[in-house]
Amino acid sequence: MKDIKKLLKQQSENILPDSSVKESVKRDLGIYPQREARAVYSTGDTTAVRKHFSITLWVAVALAVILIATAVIMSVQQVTVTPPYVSDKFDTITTADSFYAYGATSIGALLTVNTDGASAGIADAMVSLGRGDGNNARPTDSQLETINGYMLLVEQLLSDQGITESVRILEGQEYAYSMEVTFTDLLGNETSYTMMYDRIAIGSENDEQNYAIQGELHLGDEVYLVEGKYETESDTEETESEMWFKAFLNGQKTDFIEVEQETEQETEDNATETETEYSYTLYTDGKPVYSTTVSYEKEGNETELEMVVKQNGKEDVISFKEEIRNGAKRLRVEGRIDGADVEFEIEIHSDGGEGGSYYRYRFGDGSYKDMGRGH
Amino acid sequence: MKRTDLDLKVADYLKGDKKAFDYIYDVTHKIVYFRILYIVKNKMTAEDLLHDTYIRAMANLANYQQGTNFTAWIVRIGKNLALNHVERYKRETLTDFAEQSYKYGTTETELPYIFDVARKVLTEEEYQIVMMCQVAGYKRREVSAMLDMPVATVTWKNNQALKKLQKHLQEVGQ
Repeated sequence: MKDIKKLLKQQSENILPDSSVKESVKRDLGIYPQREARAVYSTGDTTAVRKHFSITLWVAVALAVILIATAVIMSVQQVTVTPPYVSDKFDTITTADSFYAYGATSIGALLTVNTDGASAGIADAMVSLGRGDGNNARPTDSQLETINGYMLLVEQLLSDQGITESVRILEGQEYAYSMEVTFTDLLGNETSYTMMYDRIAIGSENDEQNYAIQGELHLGDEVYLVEGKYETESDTEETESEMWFKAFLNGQKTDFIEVEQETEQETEDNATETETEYSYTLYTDGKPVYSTTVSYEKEGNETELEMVVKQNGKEDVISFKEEIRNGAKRLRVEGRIDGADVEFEIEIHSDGGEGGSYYRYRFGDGSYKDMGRGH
Repeated sequence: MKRTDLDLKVADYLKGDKKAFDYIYDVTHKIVYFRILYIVKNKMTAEDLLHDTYIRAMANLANYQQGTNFTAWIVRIGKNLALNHVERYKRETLTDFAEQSYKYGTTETELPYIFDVARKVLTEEEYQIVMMCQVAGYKRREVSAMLDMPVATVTWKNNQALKKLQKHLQEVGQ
């Protein structure tokens, strides 16, 4: 039945009505966008956007925050820390806090690499990720740049340590909560980001399990507005959930990266099977430009990370597998890019802490290419 | 989705708050669309009729009786427009619109095979539930509110419909 569900979901874009229908109706009804609102948001300044949220929204948010804070103040007054977890990070995402922590760290990783932003401590150690020995096609430089953009996320998800979050209640500040999220890369270095946010009740005001957030994510000197929603619904057969987290790249909120959790849980013949994926979609001018779905593939004791990158109607698949050979960690990459099979391996080099670290992509023909690690 | 919120937005629109239209459209258009699509079997035609449905509904909004399920009311308008369209099309041409829309449509209007199968194999109600739950991404409790049906019934019908689809596809070797 999962195949049918997947098939229907995959084809949904081909059947759902075009958004232009709504605009057409509005035009014919004489309903036009509010010019004032556009003028306010056209500054492109994130501070300006934050300050121009409608008063109504802020009042609603403030009320919600007061109610939530009153309800949960005793339970979260102290710092909350989720213990580290080895292997499948997705297994640890079981609460709103852990979901938002994952959203912040994973999107933070993508933004950090791609904007050359905040850097973390770099160890002297080097993880040797071996050389590919196949004769498969070598990816183009452009393809490697794309893969390189995901590497910090790959490191997060394949490292031995879990993602931890520490939540504090803030008093007398712009936001009600602060969350410090920490992840470990494959060299064993820890990186932390800070997110400040307000909680917004979904449905029942006393529901502490499901809530939305609105706030900002600090990646070094860079600050991004963020929003998220965590809502789950269970019955005896299935669990349905809506979980997303967005980081906005401009003041108009038309450009953003969104991560969504997609989970299917089904009980058949007394056995429960769960499939969890995280989809990252980059939106430009409100339209999806490309999306990448990340999932763990487990076979026996081995765990692989699989990425499916969709852009312009084509789909590339890349899998990452950590290997230990001769005592050294190796990251083997296999995939199908632009219709061609590729296979190579990645090493992470560190030059002792002065100059930073970089990835060395090694190919079957013995050649290699070095690319910045961006963190 | 709460129908009470929808009723409030309808009241706001009637009072002149045109911005309320966004909410009204966003929470209702997919169920209206799928009801139309089931009848006309053509995406472009369904989109045209979806447009006409909202124009007609908003023009006659004062006729809607608050608290009587706005979604069901606007779905009825869409369904009637779709049925009228099919009848008119049948009278105007000798083509059996109901069965040959693909043959005479353009490639752009063709729907993926799975949706063609779904329309043929499922009842109108099952089709509606599967499209809303599996394609449009609504939660079962949201669909239950829209259809005035218990959540458990929506869940069961959704599962039955999926099994029906799976069985059919297995039988035809897909």
